[in-house]
Amino acid sequence: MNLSPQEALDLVLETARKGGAQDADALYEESESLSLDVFEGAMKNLERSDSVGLGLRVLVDGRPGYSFTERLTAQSVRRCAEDALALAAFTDSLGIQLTEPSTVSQLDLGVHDDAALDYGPARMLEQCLEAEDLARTLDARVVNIPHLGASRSSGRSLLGNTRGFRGERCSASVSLGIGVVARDSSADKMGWDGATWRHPGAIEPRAIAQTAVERAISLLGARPIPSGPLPVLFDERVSGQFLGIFLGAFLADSVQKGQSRLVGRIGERIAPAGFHLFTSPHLPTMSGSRLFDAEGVSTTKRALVEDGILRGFLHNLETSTREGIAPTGDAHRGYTGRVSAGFSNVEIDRSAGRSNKELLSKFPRILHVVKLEGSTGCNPVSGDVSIGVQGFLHENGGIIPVDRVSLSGNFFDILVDVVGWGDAVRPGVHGQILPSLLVRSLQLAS
Amino acid sequence: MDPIQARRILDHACARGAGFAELFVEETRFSSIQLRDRRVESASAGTEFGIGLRMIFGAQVLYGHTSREDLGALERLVEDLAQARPRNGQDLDLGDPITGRSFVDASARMGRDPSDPQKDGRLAVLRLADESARAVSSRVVQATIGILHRRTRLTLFNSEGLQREGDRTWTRFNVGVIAEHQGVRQTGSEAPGEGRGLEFLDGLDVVANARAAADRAVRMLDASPAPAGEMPVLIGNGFGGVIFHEACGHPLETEALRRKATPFAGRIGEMVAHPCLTAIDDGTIPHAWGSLEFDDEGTPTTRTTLIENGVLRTFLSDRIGAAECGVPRSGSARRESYRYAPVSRMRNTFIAAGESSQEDLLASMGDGLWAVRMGGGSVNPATGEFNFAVEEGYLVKGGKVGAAVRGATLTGKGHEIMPRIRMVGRDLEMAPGTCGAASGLVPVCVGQPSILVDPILVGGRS
Repeated sequence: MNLSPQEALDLVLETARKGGAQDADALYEESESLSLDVFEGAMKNLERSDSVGLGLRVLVDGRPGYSFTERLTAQSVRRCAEDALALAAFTDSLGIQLTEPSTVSQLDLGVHDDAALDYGPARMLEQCLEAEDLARTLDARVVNIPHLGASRSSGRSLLGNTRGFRGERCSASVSLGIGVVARDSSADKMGWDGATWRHPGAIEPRAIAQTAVERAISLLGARPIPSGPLPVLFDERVSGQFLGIFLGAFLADSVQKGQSRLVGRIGERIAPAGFHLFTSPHLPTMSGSRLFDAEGVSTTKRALVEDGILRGFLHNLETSTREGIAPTGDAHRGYTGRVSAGFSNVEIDRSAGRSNKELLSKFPRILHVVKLEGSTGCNPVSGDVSIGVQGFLHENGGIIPVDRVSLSGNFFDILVDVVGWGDAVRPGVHGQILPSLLVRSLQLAS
Repeated sequence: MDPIQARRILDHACARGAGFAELFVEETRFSSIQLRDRRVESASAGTEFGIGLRMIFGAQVLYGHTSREDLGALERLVEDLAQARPRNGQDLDLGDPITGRSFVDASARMGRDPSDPQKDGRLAVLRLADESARAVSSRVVQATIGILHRRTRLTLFNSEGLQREGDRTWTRFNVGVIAEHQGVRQTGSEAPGEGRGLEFLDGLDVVANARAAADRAVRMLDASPAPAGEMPVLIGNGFGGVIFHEACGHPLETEALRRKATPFAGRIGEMVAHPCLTAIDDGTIPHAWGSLEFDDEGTPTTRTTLIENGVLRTFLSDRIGAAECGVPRSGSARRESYRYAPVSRMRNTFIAAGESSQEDLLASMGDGLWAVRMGGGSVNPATGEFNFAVEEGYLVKGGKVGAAVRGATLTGKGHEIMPRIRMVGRDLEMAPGTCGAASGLVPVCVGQPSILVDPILVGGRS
């Protein structure tokens, strides 16, 4: 018989304490989701998931031991505590103090809307078919729609520690996405659009289908352009993907372990004047929004880069203790893993942003990148960038679709070389509030 | 799970109109330990448990899973799925029931489970690797070493009366090294693994792996930016096979064919590659990272020749893919865990050994790039477009190996590159990896001998 979430949390902490842990914290997570996908007018797959898990960290004389279980019987929960206790004998001390109970803000972050739970299979199928029908009729060059699906998911997590802290977070979302293949005599091109929202009313299947088709069609006829340096605008569609590769450099853990090039650079210029980068945990509806972090520390909006100057890093209790600073509330954790840190929504200030049209007009010859092809040529430690891209060359008033080219440079040089940014961000609740980025010069190879 | 209870659930599913139903009951024990910054940073153990229920109606797949074991939760899942099904699907005959014995000796996969990291030798391995990596150069500034063990016990029941028990074990060692010089930081890593218990570590050359990772990080500090443009590239053995895996392997899964999202559709029997190229996906290699006795539908795994002397022979199939696409079953249905419905996936995929020596390959390429070690990459299976990073590369001038270069990527389209593989070496090697797709992350091997591709687009900075 499964224990209730509250019982499981209490039992695992109590067993850990009785077994010799001075401190422990535990995270219970449950999630439910329903998704379906459609191919050529019929539903192909329908999936329903129902998951639970309990993760534990014990501290025995400061030494951590980790364990988790997806069986929530009393016997499995006790075994989970015993696993963590046994392993704590072999690790080195973290020297941390767990969070004491405090008043958590009651701010409504808007990450849970009951309406999401009403998004059912009949409505999903209807919207997918509507998107598919439109995509097929919009342009005769659309030859296949291999990816088309809708889903809803909801989750709940409970965090507790032996000091008496208890916190809960619930969220729910819906999504719809479509990938369209267009073909002409030269090649196949894929266009994709989709987004995740809190409320099913926000989904516009026809608009999504139209955008995907336009994106596929616009890249037909793409060809390489000659190698050489040129200015580049990373569209807001890809700026999050691009920055995301290197945001690990802002983790205090990476900095302290020599895995970030930002080590020792607090107070120095790493980006242009006017450029502000935040972790922004209280943005309504965004996926990264939270009132407390994965160690129970209250969250606040914080600038990591202010007016181009590096101001700080992302910490959990382990890294802030090592650095001798107050907790910052950036801890992340899933029930299966150890405590790490991360952005709770990453945001670039857009008050000085311009439209992409305006940014593109700043240079007589400029590449507008709308697609990145994998990140494996990018090394988050060294900052080396080598990445295949697709997009459009704007030159003398003309626009040429471009593919089979790659861009290279070093991320930390590129960041300093940013000369403008956009005023728009990708729609949805994905937690990346990142505009397009204009870079003065990158090396293009073809 | 009690077989009588399982039968009741499957009967209920069929009574609700499913043509086929299946239960996948899994319990997995994970154990991991990691050392970084000379400290044992974390040690973790965990239990994954869940039951996956699949109901197939014609060509429609309904899948649900739960971590609750009681009959009531599973009965509710059957009802939830049956009620959610939109009735607009096509008919499909799934063919004969699954039968047959495995070609793999299941007992070979058992082995030593982790106990106490001191007694079972894991701590000693971590420390030895750390010391060996740091001893390579004073420029080595950080080493991260980990050992991961996973043992999965599963039972599979289907509505045709099949019942299979599985016991699968994997162990992997990884070492990542960072070297630094005058503000430049470079990385190197090695991550060998096998389908067996901790005895895998007994046969592992820990020192050699740690040194190889550290050597690469240090060597790349002095590398200059890679050249750009189309040129001949000699792609090194082992992990170099990741290109074939991504650019040809995925498009040769029936999951891509079912969605017409592959350039190889309708091309069985045609020349799709240079005649020197033969490619195989083999699920039966003893202890290999991607081997299985039977796949996640219960079909015994096979050795499948995908391309023979340049000619396309078949696709990798799961049961529904085989029925829908009219290709033989290859025992390739795989899933990460009970959370995923199985689909056709690769196992150990490699380009077969040829006859050329490394000297011959270098001599015949003239000027170009030797990509000794590939990093990861990605591909869009619907269009074939791929992009791969070169982790360790050297310039080649007149067949002679020159300076180290970094920051190179290889770009192209899979089906266009295959005819340009014009020489194949004899130094076949396999390398373990983790492959992500519709049914989650599964352990696979990639592999190849050194191959000469002429030409391929290199993206670099100089």
